[in-house]
Amino acid sequence: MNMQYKTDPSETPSFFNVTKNMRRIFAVLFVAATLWACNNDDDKPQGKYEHGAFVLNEGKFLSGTGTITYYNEQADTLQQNIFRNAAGQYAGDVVQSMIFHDDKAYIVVNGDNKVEIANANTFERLGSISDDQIVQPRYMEVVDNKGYLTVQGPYDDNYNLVDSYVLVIDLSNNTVTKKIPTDEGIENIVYAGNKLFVGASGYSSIHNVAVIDPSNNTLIDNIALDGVPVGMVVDNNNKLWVLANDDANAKLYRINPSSFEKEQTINLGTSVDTDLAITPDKSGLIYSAFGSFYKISTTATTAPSAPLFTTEDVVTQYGMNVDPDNGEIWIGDALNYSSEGKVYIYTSEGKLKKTFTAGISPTNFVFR
Amino acid sequence: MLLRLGIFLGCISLGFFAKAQSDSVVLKSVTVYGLPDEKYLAGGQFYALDSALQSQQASRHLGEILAFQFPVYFRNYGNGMLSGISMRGTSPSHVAVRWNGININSFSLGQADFSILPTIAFDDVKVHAGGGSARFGSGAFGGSVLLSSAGTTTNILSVSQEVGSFGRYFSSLKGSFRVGKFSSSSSLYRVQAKNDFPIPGYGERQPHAAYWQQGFVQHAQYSFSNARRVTIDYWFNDSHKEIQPTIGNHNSTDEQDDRNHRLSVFYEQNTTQGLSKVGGGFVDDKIIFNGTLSEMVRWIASASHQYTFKNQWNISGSAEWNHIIGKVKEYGPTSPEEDRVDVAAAIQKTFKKVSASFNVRQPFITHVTAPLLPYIGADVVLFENAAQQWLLSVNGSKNFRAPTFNDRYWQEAGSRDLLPETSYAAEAGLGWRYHNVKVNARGFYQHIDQWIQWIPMEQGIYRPRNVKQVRTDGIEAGIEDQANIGRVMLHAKLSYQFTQAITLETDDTDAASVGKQLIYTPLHTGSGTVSVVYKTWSANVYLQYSGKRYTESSNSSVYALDPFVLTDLSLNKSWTQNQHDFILSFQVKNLFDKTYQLYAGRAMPGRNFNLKISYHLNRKKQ
Repeated sequence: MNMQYKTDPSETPSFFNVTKNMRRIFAVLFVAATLWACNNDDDKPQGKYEHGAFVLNEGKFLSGTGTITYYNEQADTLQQNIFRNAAGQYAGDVVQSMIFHDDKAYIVVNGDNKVEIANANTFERLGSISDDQIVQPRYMEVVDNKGYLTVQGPYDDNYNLVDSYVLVIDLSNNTVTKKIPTDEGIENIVYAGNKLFVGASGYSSIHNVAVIDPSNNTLIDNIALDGVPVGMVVDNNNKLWVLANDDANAKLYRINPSSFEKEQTINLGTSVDTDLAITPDKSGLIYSAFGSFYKISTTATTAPSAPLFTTEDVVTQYGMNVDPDNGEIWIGDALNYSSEGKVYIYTSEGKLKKTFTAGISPTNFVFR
Repeated sequence: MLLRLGIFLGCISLGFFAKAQSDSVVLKSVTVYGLPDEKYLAGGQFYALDSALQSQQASRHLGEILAFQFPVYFRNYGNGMLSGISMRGTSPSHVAVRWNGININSFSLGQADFSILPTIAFDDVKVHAGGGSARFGSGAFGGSVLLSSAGTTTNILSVSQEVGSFGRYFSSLKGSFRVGKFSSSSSLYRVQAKNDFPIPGYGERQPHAAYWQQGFVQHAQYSFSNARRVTIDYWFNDSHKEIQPTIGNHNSTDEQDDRNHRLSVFYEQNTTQGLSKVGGGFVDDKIIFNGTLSEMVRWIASASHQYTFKNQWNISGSAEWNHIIGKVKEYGPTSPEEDRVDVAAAIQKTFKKVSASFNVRQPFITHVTAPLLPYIGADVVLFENAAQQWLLSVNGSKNFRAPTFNDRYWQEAGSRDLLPETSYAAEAGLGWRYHNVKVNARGFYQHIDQWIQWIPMEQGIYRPRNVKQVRTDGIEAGIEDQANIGRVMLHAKLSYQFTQAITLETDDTDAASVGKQLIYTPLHTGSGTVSVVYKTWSANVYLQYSGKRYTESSNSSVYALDPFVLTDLSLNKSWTQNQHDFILSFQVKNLFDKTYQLYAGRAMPGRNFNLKISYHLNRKKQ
């Protein structure tokens, strides 16, 4: 793995460099959370953000300028910075991920070490979840009104992660009820077949997916992989797909969520970008490598030979997801990580449909 | 340790205080001095730090007070935290900071952190605005900050104690003495602050921002005669900070220690053959961030000679050698070493109404081709009579900045092939003095090329490249007046600067910045001072204004910081009896409780208070 990502020591002083450096590592290893659109059966409009796409922008690191951009595809309207934390200006420092649950948006703010809570329809601030154990939170999944928050934990003096864990949060009172220790460097978390799967992307030699049983909140297994798990989705047969990155040969694994068996391994013959998404019918997977985007069927056994499309204008690809309504592929361009980034929307056939300016370092897309 | 040092220093000071009393020894300044920088940089703009501000706020770091004096901007990453200067539209690494003639910018980062430059450590603070590489070497694009700790000649002993809001305490002890041909001046200081101020508009106190800083400054000299002496200057500064996180951050744990040793030793002699100065120095800069040490070590040797011909031509020549060792983990197992040699010459002549100068410098740096750096300038008296004077100042210069150690040696990113940054600068100003009124205005222009920017390349790896071209231009203006109304003395000074700093060219990843103002570079800055002195009472008002600052390179207003005016007030009363001065000073900072930020996301405190009591034992007047 080539992970010697360097930062910008000329612009910022060294004590920021080290953490910024780490953040680049995370950034490259980041995985789009499996966030599904909420099925809102209620017909009457509840707020201006009831439907649409949300772009999570990290903001300029250590400036607290992370924001959420809202795009309404039907009306073709764009709105920047829709959520403000208690300080009143932006969402916070390094806005990492978001999940909708029970008409609330839970916004994981990695740099601020907290989870901000917004009304999902109005994006008014409702409060936040903070706890001494929330140190570098990444992604959250919800099962039975309990939040499962992946936490990378603090660094030791040599900038190694030493204490990563999943925190169980009772969302009725927003308090942490349990800490489930895992391998270091956990990122994304997915619920499949009544188990939680947690990608431990630790940039050490640990490459596995931890399995947590939410009925008793214990770690019950670790599925070892050949490569760093950087993306996870669940297909139409309720099978778990894991994209495991590697210098020369990334792999796609199909995992049975009950037996934890690796049922299929597809060699991709290249290293890949750190996102895995699924088509609306959940029969196709989308991943990318060096600016080329590939679509592969969940029944395939070999890697696709030609890409679906190749981007031309994207400078620094930083986030990718697929709109579950129409299969459009959203790509975030972080440019230089310190100026406003761009969003590129490609149709499911791979034609560029729209671009717009988002916040700084667009890292993740959530559709609702 | 510090306490013991303090007691020791106190004892020796008191010992000599007794001796000084009986012998009424007076520290005479020795006649070893050359032509000042101001003369050699004819046509340049120099500012001096107001002595009232310097003494009242000696416990503050320079980044907290300079912006009340000159039109400069400081990006402070919180209260008491990292502080970078921005002069005339350039970035913090484009200002050369020199202490007793030694460049003290970080050789790994390029910039100087003003939060570890406590005002108490300096007896003289001067700022040269504009291009000055020909005299001050690498990095003098926007200006140079010239610090001196040569010791005071008026006090035998000074003690001060302060107590302020948010658990802030400051103590200092200064002493000086002279025995025969030997004289010495020492100071010892310590500041500490809980710094848990209420975050304005947020309803919580600032977590994790406590700091302390302490240090020791020693100046000593032995004068063989009035014309020959040896001087030793040593300064140790030790700083510890909890890094103030962005507003709303929880569970922050980052901490940084800075430990800086600086030493210079010089032999000087002033004979009919001219003024010679030979010496050397040692600088050890340590940064310990979360337990990880980065260290830059520097050995310096220099020699200079100045000669004045009978016809009043002043000439000088100098050579300086720096050997630099970078002991930084990111540079790899073998610490890179670099040699930098500068050879410089200058000539100055005062004609009837014209003072003109020409400087030239040629740096030689290991594996870097540095350009020849000329400076030419003149001050021309256009009109002069008993009541008034009109003065025209012009200068032009070529300047450069060497790539930093980070730029060159950062493993798998740094590039040894980087070119130095270069700039062409020119300025012209007009000054008018009418009795006590001084008005001046000056236009400046600078074109910076080969500006080094770290840009994200394949797989998000940042690498430094000579990609940026920037044009800065603007106008600065000032007015100053002094008046006596009965027994009340009034002094007022206002300054203003309009600064454009436009990116002309840069890398594709930052294409949106082309044609836009640089970040953290306000179009408008201003400062002001009003002082009122009545008998032993005095009051000072200090003002600082900064316009809107963009924090995002395409100048998006979403991330811009709002303009602000800051007002500091101080009330002072002194009691003098014979050689003894007592001064009581009460300060209100941010009088109008303004909410403002100097760096995005970092809170600054609202209104806060400080009480200072100080005692000075003065030498008997001759």
